[in-house]
Amino acid sequence: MRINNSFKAILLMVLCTIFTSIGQISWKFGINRIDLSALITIFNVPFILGFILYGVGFLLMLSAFKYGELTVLFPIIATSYVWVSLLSSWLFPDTMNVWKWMGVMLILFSVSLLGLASKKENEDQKVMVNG
Amino acid sequence: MVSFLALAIIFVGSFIGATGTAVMKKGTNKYTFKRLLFSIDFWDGLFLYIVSTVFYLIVLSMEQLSVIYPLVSLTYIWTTILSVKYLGEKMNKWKYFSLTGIILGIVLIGIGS
Repeated sequence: MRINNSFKAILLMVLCTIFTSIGQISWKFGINRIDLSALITIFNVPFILGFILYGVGFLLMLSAFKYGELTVLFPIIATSYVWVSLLSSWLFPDTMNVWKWMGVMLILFSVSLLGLASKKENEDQKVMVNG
Repeated sequence: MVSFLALAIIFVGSFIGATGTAVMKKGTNKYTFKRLLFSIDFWDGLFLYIVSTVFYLIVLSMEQLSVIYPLVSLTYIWTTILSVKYLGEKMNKWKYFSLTGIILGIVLIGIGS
């Protein structure tokens, strides 16, 4: 199967959200270790790791931008709500509820629609080229 | 009740963030990845991102997540408008459907938070 550019861009964006989501969770751990009376505690491993993970996510987003449209790629960032909700419910018990589950499902469904939207667009372009 | 100040900060902050994204996207259209990191588009975009993050952090200290989440999804609307207006992208019914679904999904997560 040939992987076309728009599919590659979508995969890169989803990978980006995985990095930024783990980054957010890492910050959550890191912030708990910061003691404002001893500022050196800012340099704790999870807090710094959060920045590194965010940086990697940012570079992945930039490389995705090259291969697709912003109207398709940017909304995929919402997938990070899904990862953060799922990761938090695993790491910090009792954080999920019916509203959050419905939101997670709706975001997943909508992001899949976006994939379809970009596929549809490619087909339209092909028709234009051939016609 | 959400304060007017918080609303105003999110409104402006999300717009600045979306502008940053659009500027960087413009950069990726023009340059290779390596050249991009030395381009003015990249640094402009990064600067706008940092400004919008500061706005976001201010609001985080003012309001609860259940209020902030739905409002921050304004970013998706700004980004779409900017993409169509300045990057020449086209919308279709699928994109409108999914954009609406994503924003509703974020509102639901906000309600649950």
